Amino acid sequence: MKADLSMPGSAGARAALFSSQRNNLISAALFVAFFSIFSLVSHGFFSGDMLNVIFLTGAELGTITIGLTLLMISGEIDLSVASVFVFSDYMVMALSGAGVPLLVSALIALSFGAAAGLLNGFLTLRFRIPSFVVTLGMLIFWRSAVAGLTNGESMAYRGPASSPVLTVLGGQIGVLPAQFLWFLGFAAIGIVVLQYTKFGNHVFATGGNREIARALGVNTHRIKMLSFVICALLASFVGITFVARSSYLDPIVATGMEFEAVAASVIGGTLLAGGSGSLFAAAVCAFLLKEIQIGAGAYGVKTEYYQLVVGVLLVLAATFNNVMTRRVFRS
Amino acid sequence: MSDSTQPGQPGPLLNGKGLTKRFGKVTALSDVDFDVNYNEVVGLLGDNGAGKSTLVKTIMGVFPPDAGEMYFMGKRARFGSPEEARASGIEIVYQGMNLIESMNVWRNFFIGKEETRRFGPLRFLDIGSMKKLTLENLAKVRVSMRSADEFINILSGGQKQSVAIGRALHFGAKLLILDEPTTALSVRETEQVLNFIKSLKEIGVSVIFITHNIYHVYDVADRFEILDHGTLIGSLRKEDTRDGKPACTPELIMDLIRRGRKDESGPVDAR
Repeated sequence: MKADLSMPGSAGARAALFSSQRNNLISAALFVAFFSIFSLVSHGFFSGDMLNVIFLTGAELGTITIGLTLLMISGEIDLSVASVFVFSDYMVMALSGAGVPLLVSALIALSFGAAAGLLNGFLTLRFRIPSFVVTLGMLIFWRSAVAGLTNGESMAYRGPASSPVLTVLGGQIGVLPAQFLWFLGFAAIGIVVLQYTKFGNHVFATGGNREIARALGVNTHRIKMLSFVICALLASFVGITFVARSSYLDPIVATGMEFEAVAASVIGGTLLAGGSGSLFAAAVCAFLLKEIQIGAGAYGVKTEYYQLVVGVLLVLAATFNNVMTRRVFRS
Repeated sequence: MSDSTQPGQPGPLLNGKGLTKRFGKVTALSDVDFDVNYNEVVGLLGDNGAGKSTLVKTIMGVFPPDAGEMYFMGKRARFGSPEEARASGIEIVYQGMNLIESMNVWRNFFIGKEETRRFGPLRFLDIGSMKKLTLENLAKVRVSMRSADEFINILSGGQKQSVAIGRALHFGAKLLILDEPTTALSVRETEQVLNFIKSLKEIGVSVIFITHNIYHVYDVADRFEILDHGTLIGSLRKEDTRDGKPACTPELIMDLIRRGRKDESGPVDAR
């Protein structure tokens, strides 16, 4: 880059831009700060029930955010995660209600998730349509499919009332919801894969500069495809665990969750242009958002204002990231 | 006179004969004979549009020549892609063009060729070994870096160039093509880059140095090839003389580039 010699941004700003340590620290600090504030001001925030809700909803959003962040680092985006979530939930409900064993229903729904990811990747890569547009279409498509199939009405779960599958997917394991343990597992695997494997290195390279990565022998097509599939699979998995959490499927459940996931990812420092991001920071920010939702609700703020806060934080974080990037790459 | 051949390897390192490349009706390269010997730095000169980059792209296999043939290390070379040229030991380094800014030095060094270690059925990056190899190879091109964890975006243009060259050498490049390596560098950095180009000869690597600035290449090159409108119009060695006077001064070469092929006296070939 030609700007190197006359780089206007300070060396500190340049050094910090791609450092995930800084993002990890800021995210963790924000989480702890809000936690302290809510513990002091919000009545009943620091209680077993409230914390359990944060663990549960944070784990759901966090699992989706991990997949989305991986995909965003590879240079693409998936706005259809919440719709894939709800369609997977619908599939388990419908299949188990029709007498298909729960485990088989769950595996079929998971295969749907993989197929949805493949379709996103195929349309994006084969026809060179921005993934933003492809997955916006898929957001509408899967959500409408569920609305049509349920006639827009709530659908009751008719599968077995208790099953080891339900416990493993979404039971209470000790003091923690099973979803939280799943989330911890996915997060740990994701962080190790991204930092310590060839695949992870290639994800960063593909998102950092696709042409150069390809010239150096990285199969960028395969990397992006796999990232699309992993992202959709995790969203689908969360949809399946939702069966264990709620015996009803409301066709509008998790509406807007894709934006929460994008927000968590961006607040965690993931660059929208790709090539840089931290799964740890993004996941912490997923919990941060849920903490704000529940903490502010307990304080007495109308729940409707939660999305407003998410919007403001998203724009602030994106602006901050962008200003940092421009300071570094002014050319 | 530098060694033109390696023991057991007859002929030059790279030998191109009658290389011709047409794009539609435009002849971008016309019957160009182009050699690079072992341990030699060749300055490839010419004004913008003279065919310098067409020639190196033909060598790298970006587009095969329409006519002519090429030999590399004595063997017939028909590269279908830059990857094939790379695998044979020819690497091109564009200024700041083959590094990923958002990744650190050691990760850049090994993209696509990561070293891994096996843990049971799984393979993980061998980060310690890659960092060590990165710093060792950078030391070979006379660059000392505080840490292999630095991100590329904080390096200077000269350091980036060194990382790209160090990487090429580590992966066995025998011939390096440097495309305008000193353009946009500060005076001090230019000096550093020129110094390590000289040091490349000591480790048995030949260089094609593309530039239109004779003053940058004059000191380090053994030979100068001058292109104009796709034709080789001059091939000069530094020690060449004409009528007892030096025939290869920067001024004479500049003059040649400026006049191009309009010169009625025909191609200058002092060999």
